[in-house]
Amino acid sequence: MTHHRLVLFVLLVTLVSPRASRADPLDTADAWRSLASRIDAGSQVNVQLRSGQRFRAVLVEAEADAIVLLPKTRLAVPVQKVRYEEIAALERREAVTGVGKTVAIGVAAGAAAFLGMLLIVLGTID
Amino acid sequence: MTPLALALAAVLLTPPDSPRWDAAGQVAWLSGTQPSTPADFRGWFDAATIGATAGFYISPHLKVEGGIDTSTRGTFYTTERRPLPGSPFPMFVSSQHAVAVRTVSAVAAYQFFENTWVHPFVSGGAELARADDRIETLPDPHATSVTATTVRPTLGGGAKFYVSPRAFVRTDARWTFDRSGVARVSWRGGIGFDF
Repeated sequence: MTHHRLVLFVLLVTLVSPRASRADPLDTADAWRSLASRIDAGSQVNVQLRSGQRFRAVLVEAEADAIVLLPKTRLAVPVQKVRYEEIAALERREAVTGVGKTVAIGVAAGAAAFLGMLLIVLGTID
Repeated sequence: MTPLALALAAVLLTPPDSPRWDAAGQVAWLSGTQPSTPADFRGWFDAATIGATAGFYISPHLKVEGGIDTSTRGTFYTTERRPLPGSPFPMFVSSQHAVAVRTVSAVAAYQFFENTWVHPFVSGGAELARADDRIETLPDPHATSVTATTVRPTLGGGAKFYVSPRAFVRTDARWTFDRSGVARVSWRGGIGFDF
């Protein structure tokens, strides 16, 4: 086999062979259903919908056709169903430790106190 | 599910009966100048202000807001070169200005995020300001008072930090512009509530 024939043979094999190296695309709704069924009820999750909407929520229940979520908001909103087809991304949130939360609150309080003092001092400068 | 239905699918993040109004009281550090004052050198003044704002939410992200503020008197200095009769050299006249500013503002604000505990925002609008400038000129001290009323564009940005579902601490910075650039800067902090 000459060099040119060898190249042609390799090209033909490459073009007609199945793309075995690529992963088969799964039904994303099935994937989210499978994932949701493995997350414990009461866990916090980050959700992104195909509409682009993003929010944090508490997983209430994983049903056959939809996930039941309670969005984590300041003013309470009702528990809502989200169909798996609508989900673009779903991930469980890691719990924030008590130490981390305490440090964050301390830093925020310190910064607020400093800004307040700064405002008072600057306001009295003639 | 059709693509249209998917596009419209959304989770309710704001309850239908959520508050549409908010109000806040605040203090601020104000730094400004008087660009209309003729001078070869013009300083800036610093003053404390106290004020209040009230806003109405047109949507979860868009708010119109009105505010009033009044300041203490802040001082700055100007130096002006004037011809001296019979002398080839000019004389320099220095003036001390003590300015108090009262403002009424109307802005539109865009609030980021929806029904969260922290809401950054940006705003833009107009400010009607009445500045009372008490001027003492040296070397011949005599006090005059000039009052000027201006309408200027204003831009700002800040954040609301909620400490309860309806009460918040608010801080923001606001810049007011004239033809020569920034005329006033204020850094405000206060508390308020939604209703």
